[in-house]
Formats: sequence, C-alpha cells, structure tokens
Amino acid sequence: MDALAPTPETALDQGRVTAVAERLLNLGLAGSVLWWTGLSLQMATAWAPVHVAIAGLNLTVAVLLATRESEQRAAAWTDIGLCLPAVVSGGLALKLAADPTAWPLIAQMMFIIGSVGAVGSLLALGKSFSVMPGVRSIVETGPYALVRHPAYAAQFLMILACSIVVSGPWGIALAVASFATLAVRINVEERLLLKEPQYAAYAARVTSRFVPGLW
Amino acid sequence: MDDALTRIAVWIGLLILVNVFTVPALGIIVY
Repeated sequence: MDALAPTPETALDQGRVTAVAERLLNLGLAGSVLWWTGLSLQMATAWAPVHVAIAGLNLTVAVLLATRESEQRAAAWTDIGLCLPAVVSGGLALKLAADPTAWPLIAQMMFIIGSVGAVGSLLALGKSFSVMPGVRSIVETGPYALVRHPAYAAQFLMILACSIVVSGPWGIALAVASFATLAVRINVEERLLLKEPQYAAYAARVTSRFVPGLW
Repeated sequence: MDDALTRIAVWIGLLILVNVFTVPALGIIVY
C-alpha cells in the first residue's frame, strides 16, 4: 500500500478545508465590494439617484457573492484574464462620466433602468451568480427566458448612459470599447457553458444575447 | 485540472493583494 495515497478520511478533511476556504473567499469578496462601495460613495460630494442605483447594485452583488453555490466546472485562468476588461469597464465608464449629480436627465434615467434590470437579472441568477466564468446551475427563467445575457445587456445600458455624459468621439469610443469587452466575456463564458448539454439546448432555444431578435 | 482548494487559495491571495493596493489609494483620495 502506498502510504501517501489519500485515505477516505484525508479526502474528507480536504473537502472540509476547501468548503471553509471557499466560504471565507466569498465573504471576503462580499465584504470588499461593500467596503469599496462605501469608500467611493463617501467620496461623492452630493448623492444623485445614480449613487443610490450603484449602492443597490453593489449590495445585491455582495449578498449574491456571499451566498452563491460552488462551481461545478472551472474556467481556465487565461479565460478568466480575458473577462477582466469587461469586469472593469463599468467602473471605468463611471469614472470617465464624472459627477452624476450633473448628468442630463436622459442619462440618469438610462442608468437607473439599467441598474434595475441588472439587479433583477442577478437576483434571477441567485446562487448561480458569479463575476468570473464558471459552470454553476443553469438559469433559464425570468429575464433569462428572453435573452441569454440580460445582466450584461443592462450593464451595457448603464455604460451607454455614461457614454452620453462623456459625449463626442470619446463617448463613442467608450461605448464601442465596452461593447467589445462584453462580447469577449460572453464568448468566453459560452465556450465554457456550451459544453453542458443543458446550456446547448437553452442556447438553441433562446437565440438572442442582448435584445430579442437583434443580437 | 488544478484542484478547487488551489484555485480558492489563489483567489484569496489576489483578493488580499487588491485590497492592500486599492484601499490605501482610495483612502488617500477620500481624506
């Protein structure tokens, strides 16, 4: 007998250590999101409806990070790297759009509609929520019955609001670049998810990514 | 495939790094 071979007992221990580490990671991620949100809201001189929308979205993200299920299959680190630009694009757009208290009404409305759509989509994902690609239980109901990526569509609406504020060629560049990062993220995610027969069937049925019948 | 524990350990390391670098940076801007 190989003395180093894992016994059922040590395998169980590793499973327990992994579960505790994962819980710690998820709580750390959730706490960090709340901490960063608190600090950046503290920087705002006055609160606009946009700030409330960001606070609500980040609170949702924090709760979902803390309560999500383990992934059934992980993505390659290179794929995770490819998704990073899309993850930071929202924050960058908001930074470029400067002071939300001075935004035109149309931009504020687009941002708030986007954030409500994002919160609704993320809540529909529930325990399957993740920021980085990975296979968890597949959600096909609610907004996911209409399009395959409602949360990203909502995020793009929020970025478009920022693009309107930035305006001119830089505004257009922001919208185009952000869309490109989201398209890469969707491509990476779906490459992973389409290996699951359930997702392949879902993608064959729900053919649009962002807007029914358009894309 | 790398095991789940290794991946989680890497993520915890990254999270600590990001916090170590961003929180003081944000703090400087805030105060």
